[in-house]
Amino acid sequence: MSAAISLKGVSKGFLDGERYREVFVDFDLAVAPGEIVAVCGPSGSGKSTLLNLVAGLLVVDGGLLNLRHGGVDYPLHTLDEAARGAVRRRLVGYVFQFFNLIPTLNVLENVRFPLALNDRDDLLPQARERLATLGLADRLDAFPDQLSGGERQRVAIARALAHEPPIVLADEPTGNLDAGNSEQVADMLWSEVERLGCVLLVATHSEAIAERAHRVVELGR
Amino acid sequence: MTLIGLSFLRFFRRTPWTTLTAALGVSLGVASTVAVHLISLAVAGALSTVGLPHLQGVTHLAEREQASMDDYFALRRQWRNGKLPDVVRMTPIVEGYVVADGRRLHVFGTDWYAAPLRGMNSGLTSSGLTGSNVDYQPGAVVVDESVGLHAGDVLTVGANRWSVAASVSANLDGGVFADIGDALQLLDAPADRLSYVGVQVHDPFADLAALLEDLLPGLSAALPEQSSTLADWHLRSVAAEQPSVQFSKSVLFNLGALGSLALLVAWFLIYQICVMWLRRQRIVMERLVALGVGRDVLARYFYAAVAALGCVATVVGLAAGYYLAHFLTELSTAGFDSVPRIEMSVAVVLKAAFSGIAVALVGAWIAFRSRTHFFEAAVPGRSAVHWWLPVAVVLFAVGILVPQSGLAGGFMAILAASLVAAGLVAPLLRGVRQWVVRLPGSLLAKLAMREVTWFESDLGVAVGALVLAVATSLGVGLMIESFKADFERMLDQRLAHETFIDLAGQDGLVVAEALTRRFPDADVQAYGRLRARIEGTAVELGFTRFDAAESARYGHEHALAENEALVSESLTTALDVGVGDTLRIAGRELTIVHEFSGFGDVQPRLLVDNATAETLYGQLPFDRLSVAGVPSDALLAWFGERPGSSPRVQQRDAMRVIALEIFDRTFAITNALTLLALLVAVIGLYNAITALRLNQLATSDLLDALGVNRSEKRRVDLLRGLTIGLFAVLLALPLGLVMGAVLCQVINPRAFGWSIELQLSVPAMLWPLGLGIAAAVLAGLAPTPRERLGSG
Repeated sequence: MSAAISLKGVSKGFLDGERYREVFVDFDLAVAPGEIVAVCGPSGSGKSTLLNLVAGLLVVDGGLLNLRHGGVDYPLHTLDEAARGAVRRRLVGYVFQFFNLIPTLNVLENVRFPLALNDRDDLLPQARERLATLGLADRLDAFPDQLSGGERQRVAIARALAHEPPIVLADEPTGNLDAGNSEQVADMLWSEVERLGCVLLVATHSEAIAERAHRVVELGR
Repeated sequence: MTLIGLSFLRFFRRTPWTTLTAALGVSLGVASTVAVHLISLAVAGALSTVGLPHLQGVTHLAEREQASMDDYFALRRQWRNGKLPDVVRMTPIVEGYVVADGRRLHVFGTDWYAAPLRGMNSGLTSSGLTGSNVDYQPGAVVVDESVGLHAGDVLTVGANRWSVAASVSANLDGGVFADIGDALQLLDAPADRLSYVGVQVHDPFADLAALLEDLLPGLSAALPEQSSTLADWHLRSVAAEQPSVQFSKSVLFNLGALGSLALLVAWFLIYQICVMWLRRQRIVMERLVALGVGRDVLARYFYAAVAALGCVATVVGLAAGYYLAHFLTELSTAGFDSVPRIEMSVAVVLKAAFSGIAVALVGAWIAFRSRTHFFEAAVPGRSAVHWWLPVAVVLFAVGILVPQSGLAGGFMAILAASLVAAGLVAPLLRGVRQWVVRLPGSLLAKLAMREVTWFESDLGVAVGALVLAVATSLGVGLMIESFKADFERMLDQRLAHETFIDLAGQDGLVVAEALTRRFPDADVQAYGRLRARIEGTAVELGFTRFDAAESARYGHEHALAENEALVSESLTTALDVGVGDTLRIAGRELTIVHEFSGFGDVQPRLLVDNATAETLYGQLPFDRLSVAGVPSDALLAWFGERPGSSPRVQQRDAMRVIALEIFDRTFAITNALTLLALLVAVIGLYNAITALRLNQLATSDLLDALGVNRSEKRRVDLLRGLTIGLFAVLLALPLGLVMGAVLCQVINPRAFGWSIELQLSVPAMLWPLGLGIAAAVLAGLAPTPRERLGSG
């Protein structure tokens, strides 16, 4: 089976002050459709960078980065910013640790946002259902500043999955939550991802989260 | 501790774009103020060369019914006995008319020989005397340059000859100034005749007033005139004797007020930028406070850093203001022979320094006091409307409803209305949030529109400044358009004749008679004018053959009967009279039958038929003609063949074109200043939107992550700018209408004596409103600089 996400010989580095620091050198990774992969490693090891490369927010310095969906390849390393953005909008759902929601849109509008971008308002009933599943049915009109941290992450999950993307990226999705909320949010994320059969690439420090994954990719400095 | 100051300065350096725009905004504000001040100084310099020699040093005129020299000596005795301690000196003055060689001379006599008059003489050189100090010489007179005589010439009146001691620029047509004895002889008047008494009243605040006049040229014309009594005499300010000077000062004050607008908007800008800086530096300052640095120390260094920025902006603004003054002068005087000379002065430098640094410091002070609540949760948007709202409303009402508040009261009302509108922006933005949430549209559109009401603390002040600039542009534009419409209507009425001739000293009746002989079919009408007094107020009395056609030029339907008068609006205002009332002049009563607009008149005007004028003053001087039925070429050729000075012949159409051109030029500076204020407002708005974007970087990154592309983001920027612009113009519209109404109905009558009918010209409203929206959209679409947010 072809990989949903495929990185071959990828290199990526940043200017760190005056010094150039290489985060990835000849890095390979293949993630199969429906696979849940935990990306672990110490701070600065490149977890978020990997997710941002896959999302097309960053560009590889060298090597190949390909996304595949519905029998079509999307070679991100060859695409310009606009094309990468178009791929991201359709194929990727992203959950961040902080600042996940647009503050001026309410819960339902935040979740509708990717549907509107993809002209997929037909998925709105499912999105509403998912919000209900996530325990947010009575919070649809609330704005982000009226939600708790756990509620915000649940909305972020609902939004990331709203357009039913084949790839979901989650960067420390429970890093800002207490243990109880953490567990609950992770349960919901896993449950929805498995139900939709998406790839989940989750960057985490949490062993509990990593243990839930099908596979763990350990990054080192 | 200097490290703290250094830290602030480094922070400014690391946010170069914000620092640059802050400095640019203040510089433009200073430049606007400096330019207007330099122009005012140039005009004031020209005005200072115009003065009435007999009133040098006199501050008031004392008048009473049927005053005689005996009354004067009685008053003088009281003064000598110490009963009038505020009086520094006094002098009797007689005033009257005499005809010499067909020309009417306006004679003033004063105590030239007495010691105090020597003091007056010392001022004559600066007031236009071609000679130096002029001591009294028996049988000598000083003449206005309009008389056409020079020092050493002889003035012949009847059988008497008077030597001309000097010629002055008194701006008084046919003015002759003499010692009181000579004047009485010139006027063939009895020895005890007295017109009024010139008095110099001690003013303990004279130096302060002079200083304020230096700082705010024209201020004296803006303040209400004080009327008082001295013993049994009515005291009147001498300023009314020189209406052209008062008129010019009113113009200067109007310009000064408008020139300060950009500085006011710059103050909004610097406040808003200080808020932005303080927000970015909050964590650093909290750490410093935790380390034991006092809040007052932080404040001091912050103020010092902002003041340093203000200094730089002041220097730039000073230089820019100098060139702006030249530009504006050329803009408004292109083609004119006499152009005011722009010269830098210490007062201008001091004013610029005060303006730039004070604006920066006050902005920083308010921002620091209101936005540095260390270790507290972010202060929720507090209502910007506090105690000052009712105060501003009261000031507005007083400025509008109390005529005694003068021109300054009118501008106070405009300022109060402006501050209320600007202060209401943030609360209104919060208030409309719930409505904006319900607006339909795409999610991107909702995002853009809601950001404007959501982050009012970032945008409120800048939107307020934009409201102010757009409203001023709208109000001034409406006033100009309304004025122009009234002015054109007046021109349509007044320019009823084909050709107008200013005879430059020739006797109008003689020329008219000769003209009629040469061109028998010509319709010639002679006009004359002289200076007169009604209840002590100096007025211009105009006279001609007032048939129905002539009356129609002033909007009156009937020919003027004897003892009927047409009066200008400024006269009815000055004397508090109206149609149907009577005026007492030269011992006769005239009935007011119509009031006309006298745009451009520098003093109140009274128009009567020749027959009435003759019963008042006997032989009349005619100095202008209107001619119909003769081609202008033929007229010019005919005048060219005649001996004597060349008259000025003007065609109706050409006069109309010239009048409208002068009108447009008059307001060229006004338009330039409002545009400058709008530019500062746009800079402020751009800064505010930049702050909003920088504060919303997380949202921007989130939109990237969601796949929102560049064109969609530009659409959000566009819609955000459009929303800001629409909100600003919605607020600016009522404020602009109020400003227009106040300018037409309050400021103009108080400054110039005429009111303007406010007309809601759609183009005049659309232009500033469209400009406001375009400016907001432009500010919204301009790229955001990626400044480092950390501290230095």
